[in-house]
Amino acid sequence: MTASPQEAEPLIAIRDLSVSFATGAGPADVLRNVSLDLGRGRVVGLVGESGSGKSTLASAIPRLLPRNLSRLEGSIRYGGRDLLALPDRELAALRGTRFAMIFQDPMAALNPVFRIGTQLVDLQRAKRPKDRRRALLARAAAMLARVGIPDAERRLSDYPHQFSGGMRQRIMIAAALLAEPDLLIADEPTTALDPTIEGQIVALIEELRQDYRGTILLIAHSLGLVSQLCDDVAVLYAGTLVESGPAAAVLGDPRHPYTRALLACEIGPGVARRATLASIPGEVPDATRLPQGCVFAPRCPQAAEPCRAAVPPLRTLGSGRSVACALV
Amino acid sequence: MAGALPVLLRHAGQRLASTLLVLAGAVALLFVLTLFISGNPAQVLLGPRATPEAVQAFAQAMGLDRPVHERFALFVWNVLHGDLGTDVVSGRPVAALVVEVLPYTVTLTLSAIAIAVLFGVPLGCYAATHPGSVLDRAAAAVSIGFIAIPNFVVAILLLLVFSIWLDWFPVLGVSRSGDIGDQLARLALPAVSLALGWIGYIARLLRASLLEVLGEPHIRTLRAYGVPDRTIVYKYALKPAATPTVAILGLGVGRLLGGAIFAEIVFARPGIGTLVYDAISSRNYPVVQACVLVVVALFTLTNLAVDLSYAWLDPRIRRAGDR
Repeated sequence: MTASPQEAEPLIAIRDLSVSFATGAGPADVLRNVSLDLGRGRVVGLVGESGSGKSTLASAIPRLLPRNLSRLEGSIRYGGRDLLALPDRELAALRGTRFAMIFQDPMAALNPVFRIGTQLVDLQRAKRPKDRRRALLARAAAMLARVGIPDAERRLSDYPHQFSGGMRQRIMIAAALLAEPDLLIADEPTTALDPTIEGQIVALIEELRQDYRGTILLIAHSLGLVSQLCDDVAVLYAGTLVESGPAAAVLGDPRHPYTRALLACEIGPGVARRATLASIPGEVPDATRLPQGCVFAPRCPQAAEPCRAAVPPLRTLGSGRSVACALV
Repeated sequence: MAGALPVLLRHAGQRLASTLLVLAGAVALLFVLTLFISGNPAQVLLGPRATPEAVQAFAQAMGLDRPVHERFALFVWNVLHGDLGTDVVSGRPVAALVVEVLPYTVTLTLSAIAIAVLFGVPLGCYAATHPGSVLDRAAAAVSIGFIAIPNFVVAILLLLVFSIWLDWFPVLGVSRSGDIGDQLARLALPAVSLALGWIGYIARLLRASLLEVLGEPHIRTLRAYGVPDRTIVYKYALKPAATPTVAILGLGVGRLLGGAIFAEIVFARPGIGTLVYDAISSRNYPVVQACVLVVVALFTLTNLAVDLSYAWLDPRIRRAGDR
């Protein structure tokens, strides 16, 4: 072990990222002043409830944001450049070569009317513009075999509907790995799958860490998945980054009341059968009408006067940890 | 891919069977229609000044004095053998007349479809990728205009402007010489007059289905991997979006054949249209009957082709045929 990854320059440095979308109810502030480092070779887990802005944060890096985007501020530094300031053409050149994505719903992420082989060839095209189709098909077959698809070469001529959900997610993982990206963004890769299949995919991702040493940004619903797969974790609540740091430290000793509440809600193997499932009282605020001060204050059991007065800034706690809470 | 081909063949077989059924129905209907020609068909065909003897002799010659079921059997038998009857004016076999003019109508219809697709598809793709742009709005307005104006009005206007005022194209008829350039020049205006409405129709339809497909997650996958927009739109979005357009185009062939009749009349081109028009004017029923039968056949065969193309456009249909 040389210098700790936190001290080395991160692969991606997000600073004060704010994203808003135009909606019928006015601008929705989906991300507010989010700052986060994605260390080289780290698996970074991004957790939060639905609507916390996890997917938006992940999509903002390759700038794959919806058309109703109304505000995009801050910076995302990668390789000495600010991705948010990059011309469209230069940014597009990074997609599929430096960044690759795996999506939540493997049933919908592949085109239903083209053969898997054809799609894998075109998904590799950006990375290898000069290779022959035959060579790309051979690479695709080898990678499909690597991610556990039997009879891979023959199955290149099959269509997506001829694969199960788990198999399709394996195909998406193969597509991502074929791009040999610096950053692999996995947007809830197991959420749409059956629990048994989810376990298989998690095991596959763990196993693939032996070959793939790039950075992974893993968006996850469950903290269990994060503790199993991730080196670092970032907790989002209503578009605000409330806590981040090494996964073991944050999950073992959460500092933000929201992180603590999330942990309490997890159904672990240690939960007694008849125990009441914990939940966080109240609900996530509407992104078009965020409260004054700390965004979690209305639901926070410890909320005090300073919490409602001003938005607590993200403060570093040392050893790579940060938290945004006025009481810590 | 084991099993895929037999499934496709079975699908094709089923479609072919239903096509034949439709054609058989059309033949039966056509025969029934002849029963409803008011009065004595022989009298009608020969005209008011024919002598009773001539009418009698004609009725016998045409088998009109036999019972209905015998006449029907004979009719079906003849149709199956390619005998569509005899032209009561010229005395020539109707089948020969039809075969002679059919290529003109088919060429005209296919040219019109080709023009409509060649212009309609790129226009629809552009409109879908640039919704709200000037060209998109202009195309919408112009399309609706051309869809609303009847074919024959467009045909007459084109004839006036391009043949008579500007003198860019020959006015009428077809070239019987082997000169391809002359043939194309005479084909251009009638084909365009038929295609104009369809360009806008295809563009509008394709725009709508493309906009839907472009919002689907598999398109986002391609974007996330840096696949060029051109490949995304013209390959990965166009194929799933094409189904509704192909379906409408299949049905549209019927309307297009109807339009071809007007275009042939306006431009004085030989074809099924002019043939049937002249036949109706001269009460030449065997010819009318044969023309209707040929148009029905063309229409059902086109729809057979459209049905079969679905299996190519959407592989999931092949599996549906499996169950």
